[in-house]
Amino acid sequence: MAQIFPKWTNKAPLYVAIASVLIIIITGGLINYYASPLNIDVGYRPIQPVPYSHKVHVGDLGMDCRFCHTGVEYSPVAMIPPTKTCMNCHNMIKADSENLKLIRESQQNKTPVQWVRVHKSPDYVYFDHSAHITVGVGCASCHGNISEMEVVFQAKPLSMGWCLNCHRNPDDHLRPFDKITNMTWTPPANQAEFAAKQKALLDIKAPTTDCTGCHR
Amino acid sequence: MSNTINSAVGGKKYWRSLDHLAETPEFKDLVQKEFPQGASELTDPVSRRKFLSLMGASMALAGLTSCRRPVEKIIPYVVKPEEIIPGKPQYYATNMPFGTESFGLLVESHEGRPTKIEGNPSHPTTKGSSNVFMQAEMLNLYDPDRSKQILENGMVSNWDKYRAAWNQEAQNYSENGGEGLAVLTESFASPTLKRLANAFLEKYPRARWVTYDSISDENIYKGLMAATGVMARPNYEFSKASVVLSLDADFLQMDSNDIQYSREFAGRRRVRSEKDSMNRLYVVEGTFSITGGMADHRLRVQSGQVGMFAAALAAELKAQGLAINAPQVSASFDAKWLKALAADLIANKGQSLVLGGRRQPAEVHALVALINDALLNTGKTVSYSVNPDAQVSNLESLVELTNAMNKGEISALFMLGGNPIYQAPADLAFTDGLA
Amino acid sequence: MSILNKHPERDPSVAEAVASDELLVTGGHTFTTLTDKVSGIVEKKTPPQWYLLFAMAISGLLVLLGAIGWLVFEGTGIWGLNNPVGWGWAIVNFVFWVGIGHAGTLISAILFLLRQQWRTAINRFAEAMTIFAVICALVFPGIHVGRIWLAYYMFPIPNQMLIWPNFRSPLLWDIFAVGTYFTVSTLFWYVGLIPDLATLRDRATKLRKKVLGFFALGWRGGNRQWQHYEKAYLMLAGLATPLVLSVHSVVATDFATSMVPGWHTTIFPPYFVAGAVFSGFGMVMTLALIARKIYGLEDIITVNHLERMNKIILVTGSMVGYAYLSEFFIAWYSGNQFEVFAFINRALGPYAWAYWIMFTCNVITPQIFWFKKVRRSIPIMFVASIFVNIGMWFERFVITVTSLSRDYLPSSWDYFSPSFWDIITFVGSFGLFFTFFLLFLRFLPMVALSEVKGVLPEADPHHYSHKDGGAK
Repeated sequence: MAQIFPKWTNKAPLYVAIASVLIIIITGGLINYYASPLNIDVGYRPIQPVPYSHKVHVGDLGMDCRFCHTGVEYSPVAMIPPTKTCMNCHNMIKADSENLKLIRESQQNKTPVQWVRVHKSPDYVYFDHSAHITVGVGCASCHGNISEMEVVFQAKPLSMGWCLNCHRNPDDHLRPFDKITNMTWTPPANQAEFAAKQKALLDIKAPTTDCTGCHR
Repeated sequence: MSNTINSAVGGKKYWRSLDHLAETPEFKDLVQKEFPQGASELTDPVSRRKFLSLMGASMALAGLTSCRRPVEKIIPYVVKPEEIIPGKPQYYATNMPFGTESFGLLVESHEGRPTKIEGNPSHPTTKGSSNVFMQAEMLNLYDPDRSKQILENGMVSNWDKYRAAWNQEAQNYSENGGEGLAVLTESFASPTLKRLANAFLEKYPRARWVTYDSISDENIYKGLMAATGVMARPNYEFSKASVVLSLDADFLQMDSNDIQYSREFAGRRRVRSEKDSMNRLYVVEGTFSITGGMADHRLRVQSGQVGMFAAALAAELKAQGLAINAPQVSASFDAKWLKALAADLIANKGQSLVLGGRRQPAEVHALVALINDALLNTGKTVSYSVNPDAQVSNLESLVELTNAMNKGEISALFMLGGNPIYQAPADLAFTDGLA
Repeated sequence: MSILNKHPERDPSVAEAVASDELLVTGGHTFTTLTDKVSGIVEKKTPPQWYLLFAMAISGLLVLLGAIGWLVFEGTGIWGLNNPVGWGWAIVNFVFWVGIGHAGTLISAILFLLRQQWRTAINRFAEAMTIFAVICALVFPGIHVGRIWLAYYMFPIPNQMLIWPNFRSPLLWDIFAVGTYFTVSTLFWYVGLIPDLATLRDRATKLRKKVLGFFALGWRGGNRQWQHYEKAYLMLAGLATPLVLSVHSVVATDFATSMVPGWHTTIFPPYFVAGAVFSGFGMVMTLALIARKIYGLEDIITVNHLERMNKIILVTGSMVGYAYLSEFFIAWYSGNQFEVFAFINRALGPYAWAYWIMFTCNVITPQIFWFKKVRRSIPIMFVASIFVNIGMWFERFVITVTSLSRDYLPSSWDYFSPSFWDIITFVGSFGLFFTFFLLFLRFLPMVALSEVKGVLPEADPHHYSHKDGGAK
């Protein structure tokens, strides 16, 4: 009987099988990378109504984060400063700057400035700034090096896996209290030792990894 | 364009107006506006395809835009109030008048918006606990039916107009002493409101001040009035009562002061050392209540028969040797239950407590006071107090008011709170009186 | 010892057996006539009844798709679920369809290992039924999650959340159990199909030949091929055998691990497996009787086959009945008031109607098969098989809904009534099932040709007499 298919088709199933496995792995990997917050959310840099530069204020002038974000040690939210905070300085310094027009208008008309949110955790996630700051997690651990950002952008994925990574192994992210707002701190060689001491000092248990820790 | 409307080619021609028939320029213009250029392309197969492909492309692009993050605004204060830390709640201590009672509350507030009510831990009426009414009060604050402005005949008005209108009216009433003027309120015990009410009645001595609540302690006050001659209210000391008999009184959930009474009652149930003993609760009621569920001994009696039961109890107490002026009764209840109850009450003279529910008529409360007195409980587990500021609900005064309204004797009625159209007894025809 | 291994001339019992209808294939079929018969179904003109049934099935499928579309759009609120009864018809239908599948695997794997040669007449379409039933079953857990686009949460897939599903949850075991079941069943079915696809290929021309040739994987019927084939088939049968027991045991643990009175019992796994085989045979019976009638397969699926299936229905039905009674006994014996209440409530509560439908259909109906006359009467067994299907659906309904609707707290009790969408989703799932099944009947050999040929007397090496030179 004549052959229906040419001889090379004998090997075809094997090739097809290998190819499908490869395709599944590669597509899965690509989706896993490109559709993840790491790729989608990192780098989000909206244009703000007022061209405020963290680089100038924090990097060049060396202001502390808590000068403006006063709630960060006491409250779940760090707080965007009220217009009054800006004007405390800027009614003297660069009082006529074009860039500050909106701030002055806000001061005069009592209308708030509408800033655009950069770091957003979903509504079903409970996040408390003060709980992290008071145990020694630095600002830069989640926000990146703000002191070099002309316009603030999202530096970390803020995905659930990213949160859990630290919650499961927090030791590398604990710092001395005077280094909390330091933007360029790197863990010293004896970090493990320090972390153990810090945890004993503050009586910190392992951070929660229960569902209800964040999804309250 | 007009030929698409006149599309009945070859058949009868239909027209919708004389202009249409005559094909005047105005009509053509109108049609052109109604069906603009390009809409007719949908009837052309090629254009239709083009339209769909364009739609498809725009849908695809719309899909892409949805990948972009929605812009969310953060709106800070212009000048931050000093005491507010955004994200941190503030707690305000306040009071919630409830009938002639009052509850001490702590209200949680987020950036100026109250979100939760709990009892105030340092206030004796609540000590940090709350009840259903307090929890529900929060919804009242955000009730969309709450009136936000002055309305006049359903139209938005303002305070100035209201004052002007009332000043005009007030002229007449101050001349005739308030004849035809009436105020309807819910019961209250606020000293300020009482003072204002007295001032009002001083100025308009012939005006009526009517207080009515559909659910209140009215019967209790009236019963004690009958028994003692003063408008007094009872205060129970559950912490001193070893045997408690509740006659249809749901003091653990629905009756006045339930929070305080629940705590004190529970305190006597808790056994912390070998010297502690538990109290015993008898409940006689017609429907299942939380209190009935807590009872050690519960007797199911029709609500209307509870008075009879109280009388039978008095008779039984007398039969067992207590000095009490018992009325004659013919109804028969579970004799064994009654005997045991009476014996228990007598054995705990001075540490027993009998209380009647607010559903029961005044006579029951008078009898309850009598029984408590005979059991030497007065001054120990139950005391009576008079609140000069209490304005107690009074059904009779509402009846009088309604009758006066129906006779046309009332020319102005102020309703301060309450919803008598909904709450007043239906056979009173209060609504007719308003018309 | 089967009749086939006996020499017809040396053993007079064979002749007797032929006379007394005990041959597996009647009507004097040879290899050739059998091939013509079964291949003809696929090759010749499709009977008009097929088109009628297919129109009905495809309409049902469209209804299902519509119902699912509306469900995705609107959410699970369109179903009759209420507060205590959070598991409604979706789980009932899931368990029902998974259960149906079990007969196919039992017939193809366990009966194969037990050398029950009568299985050859029915195993092909019973296996097909298994696969389609599992597909129907898989629809329900997929859609019942409400947010269907997150159904992948059920699978252990690495994700940006860095969490896995709860491996201690039987709902995850379900994914593995049913997934494995579907894979193995499909493989088993396909491997069995290969020689028959080759037979069809050799009779076909043009495109048809190419397509069949593609799926026949170059089957030539050589000795070496047969040797490998038999080994592969035996291995798959060995793999599939534990699945018959494990899949429904896992489904049963979905219920049994919950602290709900009426569910929390150790009898559930064996009881569910018996019920599954029972319901599966009910379904095989229904389908076999219809297909046999339409395609004139009376010679291949003989009354002897049907009688044997009825015996299995009788056995498994009695096991199910025993489980029902045993549940009552254990409830009483446990002394647990909630357990006692759950069973009194089943038999006498608001769902008593469902309980007694279930009891009548599942326990009383199969008992008629004690009588040989009944076992061999086609109209009676057809009606009985439908009763079995109904009864087994109600069993899942009774277990799921009665226990949930009245659990510990009387204040949370409620009565479950299905909504319009519940009903058409269920009806639609039959559309899905029959669409697949009818397509299978139309395009693939519905009887395992090569296996049936193996049980023909002609297959016996000693069939042809030596005296006349082997040409009988």
